[in-house]
Amino acid sequence: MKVLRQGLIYVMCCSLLFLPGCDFRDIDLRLFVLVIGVDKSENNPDMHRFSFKIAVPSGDPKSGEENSLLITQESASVAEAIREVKSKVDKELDFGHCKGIMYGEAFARDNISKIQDWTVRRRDMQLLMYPAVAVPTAEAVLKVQPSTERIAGNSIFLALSEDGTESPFIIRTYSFDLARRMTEVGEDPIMPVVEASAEQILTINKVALLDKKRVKVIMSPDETRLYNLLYSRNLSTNFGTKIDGQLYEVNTDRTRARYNIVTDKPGEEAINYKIRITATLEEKEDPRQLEPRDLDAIEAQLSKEIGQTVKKMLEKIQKTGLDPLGFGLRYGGTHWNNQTEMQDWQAIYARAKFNVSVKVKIKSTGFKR
Amino acid sequence: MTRSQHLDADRAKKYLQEHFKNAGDIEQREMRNEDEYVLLIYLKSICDPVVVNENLVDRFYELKSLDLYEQFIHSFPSSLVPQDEEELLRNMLKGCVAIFIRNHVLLFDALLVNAGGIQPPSTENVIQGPDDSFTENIEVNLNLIRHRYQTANLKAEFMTVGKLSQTRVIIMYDASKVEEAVLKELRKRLSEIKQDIVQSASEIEKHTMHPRLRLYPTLMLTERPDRTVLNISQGKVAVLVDSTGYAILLPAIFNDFFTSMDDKIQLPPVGWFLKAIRYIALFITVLMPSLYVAFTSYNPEILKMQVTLLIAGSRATVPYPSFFEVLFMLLAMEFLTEASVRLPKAIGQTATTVGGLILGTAATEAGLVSNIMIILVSAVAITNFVIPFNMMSSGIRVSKYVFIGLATFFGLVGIVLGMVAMIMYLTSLRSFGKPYLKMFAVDWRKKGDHRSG
Amino acid sequence: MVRNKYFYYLFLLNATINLINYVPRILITDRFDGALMSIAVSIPIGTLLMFTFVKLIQKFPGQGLPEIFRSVMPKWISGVLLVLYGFAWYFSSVITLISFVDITSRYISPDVSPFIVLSGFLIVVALSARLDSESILYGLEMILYMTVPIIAYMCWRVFSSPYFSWDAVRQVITHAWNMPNYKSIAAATYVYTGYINMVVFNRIFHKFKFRHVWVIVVVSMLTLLISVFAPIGILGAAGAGAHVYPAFSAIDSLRIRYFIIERMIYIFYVVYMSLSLVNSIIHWHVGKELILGGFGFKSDQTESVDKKRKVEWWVLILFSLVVFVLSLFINQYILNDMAIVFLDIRFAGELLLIALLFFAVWKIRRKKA
Repeated sequence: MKVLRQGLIYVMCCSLLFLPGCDFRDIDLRLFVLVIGVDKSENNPDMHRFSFKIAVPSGDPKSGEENSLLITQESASVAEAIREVKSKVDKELDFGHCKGIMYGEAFARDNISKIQDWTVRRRDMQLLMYPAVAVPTAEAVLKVQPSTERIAGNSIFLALSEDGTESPFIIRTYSFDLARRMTEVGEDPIMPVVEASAEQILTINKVALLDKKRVKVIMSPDETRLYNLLYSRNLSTNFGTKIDGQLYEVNTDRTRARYNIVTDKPGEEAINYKIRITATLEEKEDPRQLEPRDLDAIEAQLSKEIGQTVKKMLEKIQKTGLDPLGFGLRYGGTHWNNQTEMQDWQAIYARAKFNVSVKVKIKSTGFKR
Repeated sequence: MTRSQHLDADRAKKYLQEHFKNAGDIEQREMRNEDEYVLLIYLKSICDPVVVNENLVDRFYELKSLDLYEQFIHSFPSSLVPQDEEELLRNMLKGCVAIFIRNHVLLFDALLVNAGGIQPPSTENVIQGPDDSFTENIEVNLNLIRHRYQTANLKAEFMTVGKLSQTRVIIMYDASKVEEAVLKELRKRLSEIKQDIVQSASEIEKHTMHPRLRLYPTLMLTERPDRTVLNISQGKVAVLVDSTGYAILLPAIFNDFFTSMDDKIQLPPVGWFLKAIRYIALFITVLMPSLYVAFTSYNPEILKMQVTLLIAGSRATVPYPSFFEVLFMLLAMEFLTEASVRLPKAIGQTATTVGGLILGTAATEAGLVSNIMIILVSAVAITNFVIPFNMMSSGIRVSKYVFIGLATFFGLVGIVLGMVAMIMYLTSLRSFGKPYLKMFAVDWRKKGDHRSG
Repeated sequence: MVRNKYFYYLFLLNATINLINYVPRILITDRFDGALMSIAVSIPIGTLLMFTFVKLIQKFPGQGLPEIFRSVMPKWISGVLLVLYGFAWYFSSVITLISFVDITSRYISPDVSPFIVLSGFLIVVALSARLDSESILYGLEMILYMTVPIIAYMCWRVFSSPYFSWDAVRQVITHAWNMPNYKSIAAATYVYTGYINMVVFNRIFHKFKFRHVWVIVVVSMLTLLISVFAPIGILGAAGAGAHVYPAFSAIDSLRIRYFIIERMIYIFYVVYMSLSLVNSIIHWHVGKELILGGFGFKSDQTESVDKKRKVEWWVLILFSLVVFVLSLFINQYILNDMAIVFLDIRFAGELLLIALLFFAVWKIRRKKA
């Protein structure tokens, strides 16, 4: 017993000797890649141009001078590009904090599936990355450094997540969501579009609709907002309307969009959307005090207009043949003929009608009547 | 005289003279009254001269006959008739006066007690509560407990331990609540102590517990009579040890060491809050340094990006790996703690200020240690002292180094491994048959005094 | 002597372990081919097996399987059976350990060699498996109380996530009418298998009673449904099958907004590592006791206890060596196949065990008569 125990202790001590042989790399010896950008190479069609935005932490956190480093590398594959970039920097690259992947527009219109698969497959990449389409190129977007940015690359994440700004034009999506939509039958991927519009400003106000692997359509900001109304709950945005030439703007508090697919009569399938909006009046041109019936009029007018624009937007999407709202999946989930349902749906979706009913309720008129 | 007298007075006298040959503090006093003759022999140093004079000398001259005097001495319950020379000697060493009357030998207890007054507790302070603590005198301690727990069920068994020191030990318990098995085990273990000298309660603690090598105390040392009484009322056993200001409480489980008497004094929700605070402190003090090592060296991706960059920035100038940085600072802190225990009280304050503030600031300024490290070390130091029992907090102080070691070799995995191993180790310990660590070890269904203690 | 609740803890441990290990992978692979029906079938089967087993073991208060077998069978038959059962039970922990080492080197410590991680695991497991049964149960209780609330929180987060696709879940539900298969049933009944631990732990139960069967049914149903639908909702009906560890990928999609740690996966990892360790400790303990019982070591006499403690070391060293050697040449495909084979054998073995217990009860009754 005693001999055995001593032997065990001996073995344990010996194994401890081997331990420090493993990689022990301190935090200050790592470089954190925060965003990856992918573009098409201009010279060689087989090559891609990868950009890596790397955070350079400064010694004094209060100074706010967080620098970042942008390294671009042309290569055939990501793995190769990383190896090559590693020889350009002094410290080990760490992708544990990589939170964004920007697909340049030209690249995204071609095929993103290879890179996207890499981001899901690689063990240290999170599934919580923010994917986005970068206009004009990913490199240009990564070069932008807004002056409000305290930590390198952080401004993009703040805008793309729910932490920072709450713009109704920004579609929030994660890479696991993108991965799911890319494989799911009956639901197509979407991505926000990040535009480098000025030297210090990034504009994110559009959504790109993809078929399973490439960008097909980029919607306009107004359509993006309407899409977002259907896509997310409690979107805070504003809607305006004109009654007798006077402008009224409302701010939404709560929104909720639901739909069902009616397939009672073959040939007359319809997708019925019900949207409820609770709003606050924010802006009005007319100086006189509002009466309750004025509010009713505004509500009715708004409901009608929003309904029409949403319908127009849905029809536009329908025409592209894409299904970013997952109608097909809903159809599949409510029908038990599993073998044939998706073929059926292809036919149904092409001819389905949209009925949109919007109910706007103005709860208050703000601090003034 | 009905009792049989085995001891011959002359032989006893000779025996004593032989044994006390070089003892300077032996006092022999011959008293003669006409033809009556009495000899008193005692050790001056441990006998109370007032007691000797009042009870033995004065009475001798006041009382008419020697028989009456002998009967008077017999009337004291503490006086006894020794059966042989050894008993005589042993009792004299305990503070008895040997009285030789004719050919009889009697012993009279005249022990001089030199105990300080009752002082406020020094290691277990509470904010609002009784301010007395055990003294070095076992009788006073007994008195303190009896005073607070007035029932005939409170039993006190006397024992002696230590071959040479003959330390008196009292086992106290409430006969109606105590578990018989615990008591039996305790008696057995106390009688097994082979040491020559037992001077403190913690020595008994050390010699009675199994396994010998362990990091966490399974017996509780307390200097508070109120805690002792509370624990006795919960069915535990208290062991009072002479000449130490501490009592041993047993069985003691993990949770007991996180209970302060404050919890009882405060309103119940406040008490729960305080207890929760202590457990949080336990986790922080054990895990914080090792988590720092794991996060900076193995898993920087776990923390939020902002935090990671902060740490990376503040560590930028530090020239050695994280575990060395942690060890360096923690050891500095341990030295400070140790130093402030040894230092005279007047200098202690200065030492901590110099060490804590100046060393910390200078080390950061010089870039030897990161800012975050300083925050961490002070958090660890403070939380460590939140744990109310010194023995437990020392055990925890040591165990955090184990975790640092694990984190250095395995990263986060090591910390989780260590946590599981520690839970398993703690649950495998037993304190007198009671599981040391166990969920709901405290029976919440019983109200009132039966709560934790 | 311990109270009844520890039986439920043993069950709960197995049920929670079930959320991550190979079981969801097997069920998700079959999600379009009868997994749901298998779950539906396995619930009555599993409950019935558990119920019968408990009723039978109640006939042997304070006895473990070795004592029971010994009293009704010739020495060599019981020896062989016990050793076989011991190894089978130990084997399930081998799969748990190896797959957890794989997960560790994938998500947490890619820098540390898997063998060092494994030896760390083995030291803790082997040393803890030597503790007495009572202490192990106390440790189990402690760890369950620390982890189960976190697991519940994570489940709630998964199902309340705005990115959770209920349509994908519905899509899978519409495939419910496919025929169940043996493989999926064997996997799904694994939730209940915690009761098998009673073959050793029954020794320390005091007047064991089995009440609240409905709790077991509800909990097992919940765990099975969560283990299948949580990955499907997050990773998509089609996409869930593409992940090696669906549960981990699903949890990786959760973001904690207001905490120092941003990605839920690390908390999940810590929780499941402790659970896996405890699970392995218990399986090793049971396996070790069965094997030692098979070789005729009794645990009630003092002189044989000392000898048993010595032989115990050799069994545990053998256990560790087997894990080490297996981990050398196992890749994730073999591991998955091994898990399937184990689950299939286990299910048959469970049925056999119950038959053997029936035999034991019958034999003892005849002896008495």
